[in-house]
Amino acid sequence: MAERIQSIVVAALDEINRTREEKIPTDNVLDLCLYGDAGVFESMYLVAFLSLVEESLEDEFGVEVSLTSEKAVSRRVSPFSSVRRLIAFVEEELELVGARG
Amino acid sequence: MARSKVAIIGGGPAGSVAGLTLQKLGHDVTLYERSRFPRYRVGESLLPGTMSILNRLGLQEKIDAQEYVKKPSATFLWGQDQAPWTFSFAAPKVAPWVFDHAVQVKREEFDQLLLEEARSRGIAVHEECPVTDVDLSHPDRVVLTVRRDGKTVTTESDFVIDAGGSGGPIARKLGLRRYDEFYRNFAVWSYFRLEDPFQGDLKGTTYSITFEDGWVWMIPVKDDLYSVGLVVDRTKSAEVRERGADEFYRTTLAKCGQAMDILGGAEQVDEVRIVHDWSYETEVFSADRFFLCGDAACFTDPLFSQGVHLASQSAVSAAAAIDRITHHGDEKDAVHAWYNRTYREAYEQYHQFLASFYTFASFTEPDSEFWRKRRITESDDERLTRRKWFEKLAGNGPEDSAGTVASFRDRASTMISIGRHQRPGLSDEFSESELNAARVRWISDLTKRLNSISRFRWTGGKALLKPYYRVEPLGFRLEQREVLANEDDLDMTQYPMDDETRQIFQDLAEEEFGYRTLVKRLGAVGRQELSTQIVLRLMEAGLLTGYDEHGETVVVQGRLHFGGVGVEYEV
Repeated sequence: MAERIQSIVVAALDEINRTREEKIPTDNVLDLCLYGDAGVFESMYLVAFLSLVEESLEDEFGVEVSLTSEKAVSRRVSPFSSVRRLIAFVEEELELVGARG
Repeated sequence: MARSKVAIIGGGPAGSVAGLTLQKLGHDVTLYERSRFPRYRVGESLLPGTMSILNRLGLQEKIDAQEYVKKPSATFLWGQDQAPWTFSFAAPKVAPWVFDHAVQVKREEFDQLLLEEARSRGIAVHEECPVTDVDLSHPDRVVLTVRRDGKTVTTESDFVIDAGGSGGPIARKLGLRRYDEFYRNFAVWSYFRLEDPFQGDLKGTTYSITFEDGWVWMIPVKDDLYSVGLVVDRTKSAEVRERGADEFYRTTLAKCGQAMDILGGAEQVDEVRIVHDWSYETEVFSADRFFLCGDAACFTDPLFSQGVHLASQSAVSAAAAIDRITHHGDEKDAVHAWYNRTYREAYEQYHQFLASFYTFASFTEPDSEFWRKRRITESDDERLTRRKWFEKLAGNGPEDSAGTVASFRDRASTMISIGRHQRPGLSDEFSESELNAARVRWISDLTKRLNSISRFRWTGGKALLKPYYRVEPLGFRLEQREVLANEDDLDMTQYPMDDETRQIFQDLAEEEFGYRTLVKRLGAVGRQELSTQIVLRLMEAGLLTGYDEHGETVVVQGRLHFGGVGVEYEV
């Protein structure tokens, strides 16, 4: 499941890179920091990126996952601190709702 | 390629940046400066947008060589018993010219650097040459009267840029200046020898600290100098006359306990200086053959350190506008309309936030004349009734006056909550990363609000494209672009649009779909990353109104945007 989530995240980044002058580096994508110190998104861009990922998750797994739920934002270590953590968070959420694997 | 001869009045940042931009665009420039540089100026704190402009004008190496104090943020101790909060300039580098910091400068050094650069690139720079008159009555030229080497001479040009500061001759001559009665402050300041008391993420920050009589700025400049200034109400001038500037400065500063804590026992090492600090604007920023830039056009309270930024941004815009008119004379009226509108919107943006921040602090400071005068408590307050931005800002109709005022105050408190420190006082332990949790919450709240919009209503029946302008970020040429508008000329000018995107909003006007559908459709035409900003800006412009499933209006609280010609920062 993690690989499928990673593909969705990478596809969203690729999509965004198409219109970016300074490309987001995706070679070491798991360690990529999305938001915060050294993050690649400023807040509004993060909102747009998360919408894109949520949309693809719904298409892929058939369930709605909120990436900005209270659960997501109250984590001690933010799911947006790296792609690895975002994938882990999504995986947990999908397992909870029993998404189609 | 057609060229224009342009005369620039004033060699401060507005004049030098205008000259450098015009020279880059291929025009002949002559600059007249009344004094000889270096000369002292207050206003040491810059914004990242200025760094971005200077970088693109090719000054990066020279700026770096000066080793200015790096300014990562602005920190406010705003309102009594409030934890400090920090506007961080941290920003992802989406383009090479996006900066995550500004600098604190000695203006005499910084301004000289810019002027010398203008001279070294071939611009004719004449110091100690005051412009005593500007004759704008000729349809085909401008005639300047200049004092030079003890003689009065006249000189002709195709255009004139007045970057002569608050004493600039054009606004004065044409009687265009309008003062804002509510922000008649004056500033009293001096310098202290003080090593930056904080390390880590507070190092280099600008402090703005409220107290009962006004607020204090504290800016670390080079060589362990701290600029420390008081902004107080004009009625205090009687006290200054009675007690003398030194005594007034010393005793008034002593009332601001938090500033005194930062200063510790630091030694004051310079004289006390005073300047009127009255907010003003001019009725017209440009027309025919003249352009006003920087303080010659408008000034507002220095709380957000926007002075040099508005100067350099308006300078680039004026240069780009002159270039456009030179090559496309038939667009003259449209280009002036663009310059006037974009400049006024940039100025008013700071003015709005200023009013909001003052109102916020007025509720936490002890009752005093300064804060009473600056508090906005009623929607029929004169500051608001003559400013249409207020209704737009608050997002409510005039029938909801209580809600309107509350929203206005909330605007500052929303921003404060995003930057609030996790401990009550200033500390080396502060780290910008501690702000991330509040920011993520804000993002979460924003996302929820947007996702709750099940139906957007487009104001009017048509989504149209109309011509507008945009300064091209690297070449600095003014290019024609199309923006979204409706049939009543209500528009959103921040993002250029094409017909494919326009069609989405025409469909929305007819079908009224919600946020998720809108974002998906914007993504399909390559607007993924900008989709949220486009939606928010259309809501701010009044073109889109969002409703939730119960038919209630969804209100989204904006943040402070500041532009940098081709790049936009948000705090």
